[in-house]
Amino acid sequence: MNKKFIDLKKDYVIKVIKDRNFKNKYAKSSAQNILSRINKEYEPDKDIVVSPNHMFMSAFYLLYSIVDIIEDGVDNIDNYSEELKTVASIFESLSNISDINNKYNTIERGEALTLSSIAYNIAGYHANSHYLSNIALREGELSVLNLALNLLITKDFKTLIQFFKENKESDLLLIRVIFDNILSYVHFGDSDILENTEKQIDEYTKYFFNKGDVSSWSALVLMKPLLKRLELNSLWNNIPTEDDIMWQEYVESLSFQKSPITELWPSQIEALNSGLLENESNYIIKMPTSAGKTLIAEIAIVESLIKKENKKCIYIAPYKSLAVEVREKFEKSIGNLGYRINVMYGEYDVDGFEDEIVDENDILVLTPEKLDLIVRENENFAEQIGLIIIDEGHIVGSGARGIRSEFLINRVRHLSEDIRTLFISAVFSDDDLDIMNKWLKDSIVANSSWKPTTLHQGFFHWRNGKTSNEKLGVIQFLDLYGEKSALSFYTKVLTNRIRNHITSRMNKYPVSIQSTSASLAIYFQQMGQTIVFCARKKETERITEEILVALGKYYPESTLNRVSKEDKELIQIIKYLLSYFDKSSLMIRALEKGIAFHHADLPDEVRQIIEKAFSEGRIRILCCTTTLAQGVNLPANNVIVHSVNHYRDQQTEINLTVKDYWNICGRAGRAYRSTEGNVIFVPHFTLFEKYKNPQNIEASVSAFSSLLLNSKEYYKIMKDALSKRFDVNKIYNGYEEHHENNLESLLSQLVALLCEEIVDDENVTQLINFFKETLLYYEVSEDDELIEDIATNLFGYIQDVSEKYSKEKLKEYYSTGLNIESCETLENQAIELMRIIIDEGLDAEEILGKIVDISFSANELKPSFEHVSLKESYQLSDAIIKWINYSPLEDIKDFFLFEKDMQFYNFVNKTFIQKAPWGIHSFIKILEHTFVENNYDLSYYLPEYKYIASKVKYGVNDITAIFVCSLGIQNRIIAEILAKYYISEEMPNEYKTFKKWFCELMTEDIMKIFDYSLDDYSLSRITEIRNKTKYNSKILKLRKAGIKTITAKVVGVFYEGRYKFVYNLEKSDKLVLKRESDNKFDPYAVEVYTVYNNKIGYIERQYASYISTYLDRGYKYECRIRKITPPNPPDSYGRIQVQIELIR
Amino acid sequence: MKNINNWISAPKSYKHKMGFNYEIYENVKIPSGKLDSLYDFLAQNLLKSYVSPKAWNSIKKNLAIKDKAKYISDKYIPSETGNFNLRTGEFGEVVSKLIFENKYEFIIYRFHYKENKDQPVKIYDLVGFLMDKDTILEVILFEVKAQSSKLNEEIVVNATKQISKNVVAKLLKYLHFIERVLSENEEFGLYKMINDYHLNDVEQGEFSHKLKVTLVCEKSIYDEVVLDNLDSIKSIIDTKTYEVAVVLLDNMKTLRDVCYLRSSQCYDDVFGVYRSRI
Repeated sequence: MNKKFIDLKKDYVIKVIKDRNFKNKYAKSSAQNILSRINKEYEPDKDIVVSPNHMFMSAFYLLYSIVDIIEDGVDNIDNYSEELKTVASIFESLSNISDINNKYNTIERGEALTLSSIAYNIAGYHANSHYLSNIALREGELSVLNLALNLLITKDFKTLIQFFKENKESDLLLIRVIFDNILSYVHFGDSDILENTEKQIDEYTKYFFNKGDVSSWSALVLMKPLLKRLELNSLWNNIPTEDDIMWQEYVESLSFQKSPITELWPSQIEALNSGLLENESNYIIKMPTSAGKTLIAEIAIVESLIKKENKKCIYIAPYKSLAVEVREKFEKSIGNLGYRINVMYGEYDVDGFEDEIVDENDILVLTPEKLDLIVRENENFAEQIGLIIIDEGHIVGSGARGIRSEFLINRVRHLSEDIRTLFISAVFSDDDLDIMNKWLKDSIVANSSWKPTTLHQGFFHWRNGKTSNEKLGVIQFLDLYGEKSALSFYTKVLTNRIRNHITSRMNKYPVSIQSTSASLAIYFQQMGQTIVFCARKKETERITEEILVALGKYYPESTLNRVSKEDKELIQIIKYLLSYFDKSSLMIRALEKGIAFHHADLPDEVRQIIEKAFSEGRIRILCCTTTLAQGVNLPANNVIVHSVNHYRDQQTEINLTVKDYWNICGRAGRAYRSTEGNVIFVPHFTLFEKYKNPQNIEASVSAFSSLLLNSKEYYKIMKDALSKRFDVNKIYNGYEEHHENNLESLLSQLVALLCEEIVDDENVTQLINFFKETLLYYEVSEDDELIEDIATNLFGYIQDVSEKYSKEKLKEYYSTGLNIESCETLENQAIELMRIIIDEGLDAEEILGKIVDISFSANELKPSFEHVSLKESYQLSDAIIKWINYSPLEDIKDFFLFEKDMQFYNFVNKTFIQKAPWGIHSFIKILEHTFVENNYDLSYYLPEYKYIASKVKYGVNDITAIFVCSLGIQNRIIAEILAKYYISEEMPNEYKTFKKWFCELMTEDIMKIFDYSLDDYSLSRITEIRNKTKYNSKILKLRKAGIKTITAKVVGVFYEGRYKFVYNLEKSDKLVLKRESDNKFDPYAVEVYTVYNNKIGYIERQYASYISTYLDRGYKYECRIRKITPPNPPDSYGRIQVQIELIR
Repeated sequence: MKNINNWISAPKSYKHKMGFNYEIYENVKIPSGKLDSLYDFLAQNLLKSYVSPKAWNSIKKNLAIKDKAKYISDKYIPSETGNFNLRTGEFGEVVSKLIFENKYEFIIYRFHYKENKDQPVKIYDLVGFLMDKDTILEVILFEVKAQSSKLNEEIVVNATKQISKNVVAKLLKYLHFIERVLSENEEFGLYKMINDYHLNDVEQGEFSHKLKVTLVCEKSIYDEVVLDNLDSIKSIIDTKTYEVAVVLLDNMKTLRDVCYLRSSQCYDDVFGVYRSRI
């Protein structure tokens, strides 16, 4: 197009976007959109109704004008992202509005959804685009071309191919070529194809233009910018796939995943463009929650694995649940390539075979404590690390684990220079970023604020209605900049809605803040999953109760009342949870309606099950505390902030930090499931003023600084030093209560520095230098004098310690992770215990009891008897011995006094599963040394002593059962049955052999082991773990070498009389492979058939995981029998080995 | 046959009902004495709508086809000449196109040609636009009902429903198409004018395009019942921006039947027209 025409378009686009009337109507349509989704029967008030036709016209004009502008590529497509997003959001609103009211069906829902999806896509909002296209395919009436476009956008490549096979209209055949080429590029990345496709689009656009086929023409006009966006954001375009076969494999496999990943989001491209893959610099990546940071981490990992072939990647996740989730994610992508990933969490306890786990895996997902322990246990470990990624990187600077994490990272970086460090966080303040950057030296900061979904923040309040008796519940939504402006139109809409449903019932429904939040939750869940955030644990339960009451009394028609009848999986989950809760308990009653609560007092497994059920969409409303924000990435459509403060005691009120608030806000907005997230603030709106703006995120000083700030000696000096940088009165300072712990943590780290020879006990200079590499140094504005003073002061401790203990003793203590005093306490008792063991001839169980009792005497490990206490004359060690002997928790309950079951489960979790294993592990180490020093052999008296800590950790008594549990199976009964079966097969009791056996178990084998009595839910929990476990690196080697000819066994011939079909087979016979892609227990299953279509079994699991990926990528194959032993039941059911050649 | 446009210069009568404006051309007469050539003209146009220009071209170049007229007849004209069901939808559109072709600044029409004899031709929307001195844009979509298989009362409503389905998007696509044509032809004045309409609409907060739904009907199927039924349209379209025009043709049924017959029986004559161009 001529420049004159384009310039006019540019001018007009800006005029429209800035027009007040347009903005007004945009806000109204968004309001109407929310309204229509919260309450389908609701008739909007006249003053907020916009003319859909008019809005549609404006959006359409903008979309096509922008397409005209960017068509010839002179103007950058990214310059119009915001405008296109607005356009998309209008189309999206209209698709809902037109749906609710026949009056406006001059706009078709399918058309509006498709246009919205396309606009989002061109703007780079792929997840939104994907989500809307999905709806369009499900609900809209679509033209043929729109259907194809939506299939392409949702990456439903299979259906797309099928669709073109079935539609053979001549014009469609032309277009098919375009789609075929795009698919080929997406899967295999041939950039020449893309260039051709662009030309083809031009050609066909012209063809339809000349033909006067306006509808095909106007659809094709949109293809070009879509293609441009596809290319710009494509993984092929942003990753150096030509550099290594593994890059190629990685990108290809992502494109063939069940939910294919083919492009990057703008936030991710920003990170890559800053040089993530080109240089070796350390990185700090700040991205909002769910802006795709895990994928960036993943790409950095693949890069490191490719470039530093023999080095490991360490991913530090602060919480167990997050670590487990990250591992799952990596398993599907990197794991699929053959790399081995494992997750280790917990305290400083160690499984007897942990060395093997550390050794065999390429990627370890760890909690900071685990990494610390591995470093302490294994002198050369740091040298094996190529990359460390610290997720939720802000924890390094703050929180109770701050000192440990910060020092740990510094230590590791000291121990090996060749480690790249990558910090990721959603809530770094600008100050945090600056200090972190200085701390990491030569690092690159990638700071993106791009989010895949739009966040709407609003606050709730009551307002007087028309009559004096009437009050209106109002939600005032802010605009995207956190201000009240044109977009606050939202409020009025919601006023009406809430007025109708809450206030009209005010006489019979006393409106407390709890019932307000409960009602809001019931409304908003219609728009998608809703989290009700509470500052207090008790509140989560109270609101859950309140919702149940409201549902019964006021919303009997709500779909929530039917949830459990319609969701069979949920019924299974409820059944499973009956081992924790009574049938009449709040949790079970709530779950039956798709509601749950979540707080720190719930047992780990319960929390995990609830998190999983929520992420699968089975739970509609989740009332939770910050514990949820500390866990897995659990996005919701809506977050209702019910309260922001709690009382530590009667006097001290503790407010939620702005940082935590934004961490919670980050949960609002589910990429691929919605295009926006809503945060509704229910506490008083004066508080909202503080929270609403992310600029108010508190600067937090590191735990080291905070520790000093809280000490008498340094309080004043630190305050002065920090005040150069911070407004000291506003520094978030939540550490007072943990002061003691922090000090111990610091001292333990000082010992580690000494043992790792990073500092010595003769000269303070090394310690000074080390401290100059801490965050503290930059927080006090590089005040050398102060640092020297602090170092000199703490150097005294180092000298004292090294004077008092020999190097060996110190190392022994250091390897436990406990502080010196605790070790000394344990040591004294070890000598005493050794004497008793030898002199009195205790049996193994008696020794175990003593060990348990002593372990709890360490300062860090003393059990907390706050809510749970032992009954008189009962011993904690007796309970633990029962625990490892598979006694059900019901029986162990008899040892204790407590009010609520949850308190007991929580106690078991903290004491049995977390503290005891650490204590036992540490004590046994010291005891073992004591025995050796006195020329005795502990194993003589206590043969399996290395496994005791693990036995307690998992609550099992067989070494094999420990293996089972260490793979991730938490159910002790299941572990016991699997272990017993394994032992009965007379297999060697070694971790590696067991793992191989377990990995190769067919689903049919597992069913047989459990005598066909396993329910689907338990079976899927076992198979999930089996599926992600690998016992060697064969697959990785095959991939790296690009080998496509495989020899594999056919298994499962025994089942269902399949062996009958084996009799007639001979060597070199051809066999048929079928991908059983709907196998819900094994995603990689490959069935083997004879040419007469008789099933004879499956490809052995290890190779199936390799072959299936290529079959899924459309590879052809040739499969012939290589070796065959005919069946001779019941002694043998035939053995078949096949050779498979994969052909692209 | 240019005179065909005079049909609609017949005096209009306006009726106002329930906020709609109906433009009704009640006394449209076919000029006497010219009936025969009119039949031929329409029959030729019908046949043109069967065979795509591309197909015409390849038949023209194909030396192996000796009797081209017969070939076309065999391949494209339905064998059962009396079976008009196969051919519904062709006549009305062809007539409408001829009627309105010269009334508007610009017209787009689209035939979906036959690929074989049993496939009915399809004709999609016709659209034209007018810009008068007051710079009001008027876009017209047509729906034609020459014969009715359904009850009379339903015709108008159904036709309007058909048009109003996704009508806004359709209209806007046409407008954008027109813009593109204007820019290709370097017609900056008109191009700017269309953009001004849009901007004006945004600023005024109103949708000011006039959208005219035109129904071309056989007079015998029209009566007050049809008009009464137009009321129900009100619920499905936005009255501010739509106008419904009903064009009633006398004896349209006869006209259509004769044309169909000629297009299939007199293929040689019809083809003659093309042959002369070959």
